[in-house]
Amino acid sequence: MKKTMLLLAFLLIAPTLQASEDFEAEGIIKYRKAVMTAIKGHNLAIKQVVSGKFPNHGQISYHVNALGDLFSELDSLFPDGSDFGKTNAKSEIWDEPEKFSKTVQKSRQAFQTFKAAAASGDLKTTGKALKAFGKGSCGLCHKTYKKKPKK
Amino acid sequence: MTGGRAGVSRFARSVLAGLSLWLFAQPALATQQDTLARGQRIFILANCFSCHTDSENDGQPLAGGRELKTPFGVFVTPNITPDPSSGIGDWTEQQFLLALGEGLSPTGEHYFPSFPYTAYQSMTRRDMRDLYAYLMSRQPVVQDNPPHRLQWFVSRYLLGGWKAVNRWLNPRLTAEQQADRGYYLRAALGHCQECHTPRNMLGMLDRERDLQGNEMLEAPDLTPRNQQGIADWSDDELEEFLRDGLYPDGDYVGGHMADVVEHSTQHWSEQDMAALIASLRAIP
Repeated sequence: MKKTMLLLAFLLIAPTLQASEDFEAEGIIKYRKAVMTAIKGHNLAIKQVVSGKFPNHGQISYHVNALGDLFSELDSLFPDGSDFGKTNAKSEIWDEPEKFSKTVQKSRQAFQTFKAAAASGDLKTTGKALKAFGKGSCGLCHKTYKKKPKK
Repeated sequence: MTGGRAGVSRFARSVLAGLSLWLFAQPALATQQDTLARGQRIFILANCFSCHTDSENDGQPLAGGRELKTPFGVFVTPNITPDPSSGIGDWTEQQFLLALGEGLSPTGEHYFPSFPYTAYQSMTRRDMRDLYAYLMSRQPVVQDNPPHRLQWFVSRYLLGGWKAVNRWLNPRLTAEQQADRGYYLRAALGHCQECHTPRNMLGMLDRERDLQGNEMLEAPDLTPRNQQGIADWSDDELEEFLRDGLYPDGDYVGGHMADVVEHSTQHWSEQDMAALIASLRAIP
């Protein structure tokens, strides 16, 4: 009788547990997308300055620092269980975590190179480095791990 | 003394002969270098590298082994290095032209259209020949070609009929179309339609909906119908995308298009880039 009661209780609670996990994954995916949107926003803001379309050169360091903070949490954005639902992240991230981790590492190195170039204060050097950073970080990761190109 | 003079004369004759040979060889060498340089440009424009190199697994350049996942199964790209056993090293120029122009192997087998001969058939003979010369100048790599893993209904024996119908629906470019640089780049060398045009049930391009996107391949609509697409971008933004993979909103391209940018479009000359953009703008 006791066992039956326990089983019934589990069956009642189980769907709630699943729902709670789904909710958590959904939240993580939304957060991840928000971080990616922030990264591309800072990227674009720097581009506007280095291409001479926005006059305040001092803003570059602000955006570079923000990118540094965002890049520092890249690893934690792809926990187990956040590989389904409304995500453009490919399953290879979770299937081959070591390979993905290496790519994230390369992305961070590309950021450090860009950060050093941006510190020079020279717009031409920063602009050139921004292109290399974009290709070597965002581009590198998206090439293998982003599912869907834009419409 | 006489012997000495004869020796000098022999030496002078040898030098003269060598010099003449060298001088005569110069135009031939220059032509060969020109052919290889043109071949390299065709190689980049046609983006041979990205499909024939398994970059994801650190594969050797042009040694094949890249898996192309399609609704018809997994096609594994072949070795196109000049290795005679596993690559195309023992192919004649004529056999190479037959592969590009007719989709036929040297033994007469039909190639699956995962190899876009359906677009390359419209290449000029000169471009094909220069490409052959360039590929033959690459480093040979011994690497056998693994078999494709296809759906049960996909058979090489049906390809003859498929090709005949497809040729009727998608004929070769006319000489006039070939002369339009932008159109030639887009439809023959760059083979944009192979990913960006929807296909019918038999896998043939639906030319009535040219470049209107292929959902299965997640390739976007390039026509002005797509309000969020390239029609809304400036020419500079479009060039930036093709050179750097950068979208106008600051995002970076992913998937197969990232390979296209990395191994092909970013290396295009200013003139070719301008011609392609003009041609993309002309899509109805």
